[in-house]
Amino acid sequence: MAKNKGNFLKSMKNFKVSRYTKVTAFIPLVILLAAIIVVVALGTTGAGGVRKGSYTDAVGIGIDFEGGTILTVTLGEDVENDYEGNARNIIDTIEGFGVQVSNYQKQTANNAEQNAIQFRYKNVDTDDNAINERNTNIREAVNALYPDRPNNVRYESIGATAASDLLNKAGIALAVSVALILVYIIIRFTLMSGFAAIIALLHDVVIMFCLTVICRVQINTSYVAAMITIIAYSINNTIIIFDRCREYLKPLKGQKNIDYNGIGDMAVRDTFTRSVYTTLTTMVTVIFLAILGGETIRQFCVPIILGLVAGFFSSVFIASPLWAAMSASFDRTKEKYAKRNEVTYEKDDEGEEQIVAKSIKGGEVETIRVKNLTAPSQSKPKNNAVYKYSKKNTQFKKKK
Amino acid sequence: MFIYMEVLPVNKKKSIIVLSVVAVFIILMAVFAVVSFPIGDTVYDYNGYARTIKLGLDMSGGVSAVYEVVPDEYADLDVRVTGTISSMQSLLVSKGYTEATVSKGTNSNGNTTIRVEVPDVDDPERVLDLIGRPASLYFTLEETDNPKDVAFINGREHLENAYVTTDDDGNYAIGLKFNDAGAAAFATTTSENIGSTTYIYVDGQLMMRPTIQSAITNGSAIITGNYTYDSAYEYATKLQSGTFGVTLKQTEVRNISATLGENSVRIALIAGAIGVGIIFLFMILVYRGLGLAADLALCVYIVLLLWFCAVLPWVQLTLPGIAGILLSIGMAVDGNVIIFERIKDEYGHTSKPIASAIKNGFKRSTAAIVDGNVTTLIGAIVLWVLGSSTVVGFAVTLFIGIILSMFTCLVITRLILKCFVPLNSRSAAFYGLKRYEDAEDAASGKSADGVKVAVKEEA
Repeated sequence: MAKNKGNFLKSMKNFKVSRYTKVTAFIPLVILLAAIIVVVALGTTGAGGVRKGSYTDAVGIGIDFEGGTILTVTLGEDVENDYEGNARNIIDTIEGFGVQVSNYQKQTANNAEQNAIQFRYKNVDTDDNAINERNTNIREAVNALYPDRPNNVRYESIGATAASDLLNKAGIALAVSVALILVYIIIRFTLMSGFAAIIALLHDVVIMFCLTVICRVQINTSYVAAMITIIAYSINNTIIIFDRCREYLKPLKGQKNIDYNGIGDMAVRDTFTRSVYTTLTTMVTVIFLAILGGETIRQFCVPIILGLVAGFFSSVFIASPLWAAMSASFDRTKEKYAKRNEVTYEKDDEGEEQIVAKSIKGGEVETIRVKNLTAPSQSKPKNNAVYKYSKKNTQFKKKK
Repeated sequence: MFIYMEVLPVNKKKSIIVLSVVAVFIILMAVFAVVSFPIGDTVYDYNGYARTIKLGLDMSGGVSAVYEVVPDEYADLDVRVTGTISSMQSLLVSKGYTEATVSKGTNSNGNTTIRVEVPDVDDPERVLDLIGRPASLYFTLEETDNPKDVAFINGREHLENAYVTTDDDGNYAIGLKFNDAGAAAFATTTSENIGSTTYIYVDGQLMMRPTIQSAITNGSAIITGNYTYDSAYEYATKLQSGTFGVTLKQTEVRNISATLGENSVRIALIAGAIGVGIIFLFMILVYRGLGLAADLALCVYIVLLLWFCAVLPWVQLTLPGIAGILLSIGMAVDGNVIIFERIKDEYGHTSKPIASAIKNGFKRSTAAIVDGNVTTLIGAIVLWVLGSSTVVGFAVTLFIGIILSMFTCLVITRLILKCFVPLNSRSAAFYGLKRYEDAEDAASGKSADGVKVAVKEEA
C-alpha cells in the first residue's frame, strides 16, 4: 500500500493547485446546488416522511429540536424474547402511516410484565386533531398485531428535548470562534491568510450542512457537535499549508510581484503527503464504524467521512489558491495606493529638474511641483522584476 | 519541559531506562483501564477507569422518569413548567449528566407531563436523588406551622438558583440567587429586620434559621453554618428543587435501553481497535523506526485520553462523542507525520547526521503544529464557554484531545526518539531515511514556470 502511494505521491511533484481553480471552485457549487434541490424537492412534494411544505423537515431537523410522539407498546416477556423482531414488526406498521421512526428502545420495569418497547417519531401533521387522529390509528393498528394483549399501546406527545437555544448558541459560538481564529491567524500569519482560512472554514460549514441534507441525516444535538469537530480539523489542515507558505515567503519579505501562486502550489505539494496520510488515519476508524455498525450508525458515519473529504478538499484546493489570489491583489492594491502618493522627477519646460508630488484627494489629483535643488538620482526602483522563490534564499541561519 | 529535555544527558543506559518507564506506564495504564478488583480489606472495589466512562442515552440507555404536572390555582402554569424543565436540566448538567434530556409532553389524559431521561444510571431511584425530590421553599420571619401564609420569599416565585459556595473564612456555605422580584422582596425584608432570625422551610420542614446580619440588596445571599461539602450540597439541591414552580407527581420510572441497539458499544470498540491497529501498522510501514516511536506515543495518547474521559465530569459519550474520539486518534498521528516529513527533508537535503536531522525536524515543525492546534483549541474553548450542555461535553472531549495530541507528539515522541538515537544512531534504514540524490533533485527541481522547488517530497 505504501509503495503504490509513494508512486502516486511522486507523480504529484509537478502538481499545481492554482491551475485547477476553475474546476475546484465548481465542485462545492455543485454540492450546494444538489442540497438545495433535495430540500426544495422534498419540501414541495412531501416525500420520505417530510411534511409537505415544511422545509425544516426537508433539511432534516430531528425530533430533538421539534418533538413528536412516543408510542409505548407493552409486551411483557416478549420484549426479552424477541426484541429486534417485535420492534421491526411494529416499526413497519407505524411507518405504514406515513411517519418515520427516529429511534426505538427497550423499557424495563421491576415487574417484567410491564416491559415495553418505545418508539419515537416526528409528527407529520401540524394541527393537534390530525396528530391525535393519526396516533389513534397507529395505536389501533399496532394493537391489532397483539390480539392477546389488549390495550397494550399508548401514545404520548413529547416536546423538544434539545435546549431550544442550542442552534442559536452554536451559531454564536461559531461567529465568536471565527472572529478569534481570524485574529490569531492574522497575528501569526498575514491578513490574507486569515481571510482565506476563514473562507475555507465557512466553506466547510456549508458543505457539511449540504452533505447532511443530501445524506438525509437527522440533525440532532450531538450531530451538531460532530460537525464542529470536522470543521475544527479542517482548519488545522489549512494552517499546516499556510505554515509552509509563511516559511517560503519569509525571505521574500518586502519584495514586489511575488509569485504567490507558485508559493501556494509548492506549499500544497510539500504538505500533500501529510494531508493524504492524516485524512486517511482520521477516516479509517470511522470507516470501520460505518462498516460494522447498524443502519443508524452508518447513517451518521457517512456524512462524517464525506465531511473529512470536504475538509481535505477545502484545505488543499481552496485555501491556498484563494490565499494566493487575495495576497496578489492585496499587494497590487497596496502598490496602487502607494503610487497615488508617488514622488517623481520631471523636467519642466525649461529643462530644469522638478520634484513632482502627486496625491489623490477625493478623486482630484493634486500636483505639487517644487524646483529640485539637489541633484536628482535617476535610478528608479525596478517594479517589473518578478521575484521567484529559489532554493538559495531558504536557508535560514539561526543564531544559537 | 523542552528545556529540560535538551539538557537531558542521554546515553544507552539512560535511554533503556526511559524507554522501559514509558513501556511500563503504557502497560500499567492499559491494565488499570480494564481490570476490576476489590481493594484490600475495604468494602470498595476498584473499577477499571475505562469502564467508568459515562455513556449517553444512545449508547447505554439509562432511566426514564415521567412526572405529571398537578394543575394548581396559580396562573401561568405553562411558563412555570418551562422554568421547571430548565432548572431540572441545569441541575442535571451541574451533576455531570450533560446528555440527560428533560422534555415536556402531554399524556393520553391531556395532562402536561415532564419526561426526564438520565443516561448511564441503572437504578431508577437514582433519578430522584439527582433531580432532588421537588419540594416547596419558604422564608419566614416567624416560626410557624403554615409557612406558606407568612412567607416573604417563596421558592417558586423568588429563588433562581441555590449552590454550594464558601464564606470569607473558607467554610462551606449555601449560596442563594434570587430573581428580580425575589431580590426586591429580600432587600426590603432584610433591611427592616436586621438582627432577627429567618426561618427556611423546605416542604414544610424547618431546615435552617440563619440570622440576618445585614441588609441584602443585590439579590444574592449565603447561608453559613457548620456545613461539610456534602451537607451543603444536599441542602443546595433541596433548595433548588424547591424552586421548581410546579407540583409534580411521578407516574412512571423505567429503565430504557440504548437507542442504537444493545451492542453499539461493542461495535464502537471493535471499529476503534481495527482502526487503531491499521494506524499502528501504517506508521511502522511508512516511517519504520520513527513510526515505532509514534506508535508508542499514540499508546500514551490513548490511555491518557481514556483516563481523562473517565475522570472529567462533563464527558458523557454519545455516538458522535465516540466518533470524535476515534477521529482524534487519527489526528494525534498528524503531528507525528508533520514532524517525520520534516525529518526526512532535513536528512534528505543535507549531509546532517540522523540525530541533528531529528532535532531540526522537530524544531522546524513545532510552529506549524502549535499554530494548527491553537486555532482548533480556540474553537473548542469558545464552544465550552458558549455552547449548550450537549455541546459542552463535546467541546471538553475535543479540548482534551487537542492538548494531549500536542503533548504526545511534541514531548513524548521527541523523548522516545531521543532515546532511540543513542541506541541506534547510524542506521538510516531503521529510521526510514535516505539522502536524496542531487541528480534527482535537479531534474525534478524545476517546474514549468521556472519556480525552483527547494524542498521536495519523498514518500
